[in-house]
Amino acid sequence: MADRIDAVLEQQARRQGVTPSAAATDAEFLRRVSLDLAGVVPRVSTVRAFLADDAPGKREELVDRLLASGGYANHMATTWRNRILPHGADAARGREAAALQKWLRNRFAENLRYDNLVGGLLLATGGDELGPALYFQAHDVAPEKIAASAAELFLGLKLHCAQCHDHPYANWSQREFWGFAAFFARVKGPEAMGAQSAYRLTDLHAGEAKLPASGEVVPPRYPGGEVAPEDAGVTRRAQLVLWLTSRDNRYFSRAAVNWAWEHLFGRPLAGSLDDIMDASEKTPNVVLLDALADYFVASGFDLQELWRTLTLTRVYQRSSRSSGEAPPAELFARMLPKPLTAEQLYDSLLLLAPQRDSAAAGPTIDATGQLEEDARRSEFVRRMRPPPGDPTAYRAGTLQALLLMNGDAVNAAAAPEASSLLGALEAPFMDDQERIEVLLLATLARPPDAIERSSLAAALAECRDGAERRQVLSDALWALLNSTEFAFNH
Amino acid sequence: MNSELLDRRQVLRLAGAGLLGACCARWLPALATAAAADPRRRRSCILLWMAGGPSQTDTFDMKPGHNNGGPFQEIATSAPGLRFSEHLPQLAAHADRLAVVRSLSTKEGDHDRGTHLVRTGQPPMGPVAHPSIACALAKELATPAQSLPAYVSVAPPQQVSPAAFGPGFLGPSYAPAIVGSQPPAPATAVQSAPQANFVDLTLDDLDLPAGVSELQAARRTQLWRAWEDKFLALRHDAAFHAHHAIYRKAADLMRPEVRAAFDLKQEPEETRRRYGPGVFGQGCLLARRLVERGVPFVEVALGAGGLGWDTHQDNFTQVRRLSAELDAGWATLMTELQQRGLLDSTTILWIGEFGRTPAINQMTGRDHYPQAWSCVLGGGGIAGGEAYGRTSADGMVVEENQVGIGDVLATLCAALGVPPDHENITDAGRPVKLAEGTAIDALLA
Repeated sequence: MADRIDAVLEQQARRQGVTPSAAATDAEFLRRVSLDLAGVVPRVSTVRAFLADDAPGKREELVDRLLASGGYANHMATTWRNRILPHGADAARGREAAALQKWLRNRFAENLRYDNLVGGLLLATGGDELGPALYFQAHDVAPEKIAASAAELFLGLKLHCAQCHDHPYANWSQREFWGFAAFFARVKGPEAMGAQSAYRLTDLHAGEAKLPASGEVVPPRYPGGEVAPEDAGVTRRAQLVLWLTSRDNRYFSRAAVNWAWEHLFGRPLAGSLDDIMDASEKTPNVVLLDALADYFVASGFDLQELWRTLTLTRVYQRSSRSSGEAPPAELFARMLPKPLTAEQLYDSLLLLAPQRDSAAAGPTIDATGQLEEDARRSEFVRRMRPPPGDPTAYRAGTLQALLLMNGDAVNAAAAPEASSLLGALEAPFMDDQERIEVLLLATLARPPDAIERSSLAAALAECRDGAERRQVLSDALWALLNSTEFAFNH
Repeated sequence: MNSELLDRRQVLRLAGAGLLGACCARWLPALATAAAADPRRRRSCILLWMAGGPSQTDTFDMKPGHNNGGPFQEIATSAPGLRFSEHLPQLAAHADRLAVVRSLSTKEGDHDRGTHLVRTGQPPMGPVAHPSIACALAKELATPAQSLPAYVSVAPPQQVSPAAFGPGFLGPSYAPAIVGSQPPAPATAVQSAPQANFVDLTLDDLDLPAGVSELQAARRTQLWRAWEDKFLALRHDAAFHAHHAIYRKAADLMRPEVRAAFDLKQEPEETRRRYGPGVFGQGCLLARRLVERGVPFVEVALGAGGLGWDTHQDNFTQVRRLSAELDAGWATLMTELQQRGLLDSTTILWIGEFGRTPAINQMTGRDHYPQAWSCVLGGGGIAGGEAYGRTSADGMVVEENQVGIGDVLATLCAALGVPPDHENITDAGRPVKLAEGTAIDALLA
């Protein structure tokens, strides 16, 4: 499959006269795939070992190691949680969000089949299983809100535009939207929420979706398909999940692989899935998407296998540099840089300055069972995280820059007395060249070049004592952590 | 090879040239004149947020002679026929520039829900994360060249409806710059400094981290610039350069002459005293300093710590105390804006999340009342000296010109010269108007 992806995209580039970028260096690949799969920059020791390794299969081995790490499960859980909840919903419901994080994390850790993962989420009942019910709770258990979200996440369809009127540019009618919403019309939240009682969802035997204007009852109907038969033995949600997650539902598998592609490449392989259905002629990217979707289904909806395949393509392993004008993005002829997410940034900073006064570093990286999240991390994420949008655009403002320049997160990592990295640089067997190298490896996951080496060495050589040298190293680390190179995954 | 990244002599030269030194304040008096005369000047807005829901019956819609009226007396103002509470005497002198809306009626009587409704124009829990009107207006009024933040908020409530104070789908780059979020340091027993009685307000993360000297900060910046120049010279992605530009802007904000806007110690003690020593009074003084420097949106909260206007018990003692604070801060702000020629381009909105029951409860308090309440608009773009709408003799119902919150927000937009039906697009592609109501023509100058 990886070969096919490379062949299709390289042929397209050739046809348009575009020369793809050079292959990414080992260091570039390591930092990129660590951030994409495990959500953090690699540790110094990892960088060293990887760069020194001569084995031809070392990139495959790295990907396998990352997929098996706790960081993978946690990063995927964070990514999904941000994806499925409305923006800002987790800030108001910290405990439930932590439970959802744990629920997702366990599933990614055991590499649960993607179809089962989605099915489990959509059939959540809450109660003893705190977590996935938050998906319904955060959408107010409103059939139209859950329907709009589920259609976009799991079918790749922007049905919500058809909520109030027929879809302006795709063939979705208002009736089809409400037909989809009808599958969620019998889910009910608890009547009253006690402080201690668990949030429980129940499936009733009554409840209908109605057209907003006329009040006409719309029976449950699969998008682009038939009306679901009345079946007293099965809940409507279960009827939907059976159809939605079936091997034959191409909306489902396409949406899955298109999302995975976007996660790695910064933009989906095929733009809007709404349009694909109507197109008479398929673009090469859509043909490729279909092939990838079939491959994903045939693998048994194996997400880790999908990551393995995609990250080992030449396309993924291209440099983000381009000589001359940037090629059209849909050719994927070079890697698009993505700003680090708030969580990637915080967790990467935390690697450099583990907080000694709490076990906070534990749960965020190598998750354990506790349901409290690191409050400092939550606050950092709240202030940094942009609403959903283009993952390759930098969308922060001056306040976010001030937070990074002067706030606790960066300064705990860069302060001479708090930083575990700077502490390690005190070791007597290190000379200045080694110290400079460690600084670069820890932040940018690459060795310094000659200019960087010599200018930092000159600054260190001017220092009169150890205290001054610590200060200079601290300032250099601060500059690196605030640099554009550090702020992006490229 | 020479030291390209770090040149100690250069750092010291910069320090000596005043980049890092103390700011000199000589040019300050000329500031306001320049601001008022600038033909490109856009309008500014000051939102006075009354956390907890202020009692209209004891401030701007009094019911003398009725049982619901309570013990406070009415006084005449500079506007014939318009009367305020006796506890707002200084503000009464500015009534000709204030318009009282006495016919506001809303449907949310809970602090969280009411706050969300008033500040965003929308009830909570919809599918869209609506921005606060403050963020949305700051976005429209901001100019790219401005070093200071477009929206500064003084001591907003921390617990009530956080979403109503944020930028929602507009994204965090439109979030308010918050000052005074830390509780003021407790007054020390020995007050040696001359201004020790006044609250100081600082912007989060504007100060260098503890333990970092200015010389060190300059070295960090030097190192950072060298690193950035090297990287960006070879990389042309717009996102990289956007990141760099935002940092330059933040560094700009930290420059002494820019951040001096927040240094209230530069004001004469007499001025600080007139505004009142607390967070609200000093916040109003800060608002004036920021508007002078072209900041388009400033919010100052009164009663934010513990919802001060939520006077279910002992209403009159508390309202009298809050009124004194309100009167000093707001009236002095009006006076000083007027003296500087800035009142005509600065629109003020005084509002809380709802009003309070005209009937007095058994604990001499007043409870939540969204059915019929008041807010006040003033300054630029507002036809002052009038009351719009009327409540019944007992204050329980609106009898004339009932308006909703959307109408008030639309009026605010219109007074600021921003079309209320201007649309922002959510990430789901849905267009959302700044304000969904109709601007009240009678209130617009």
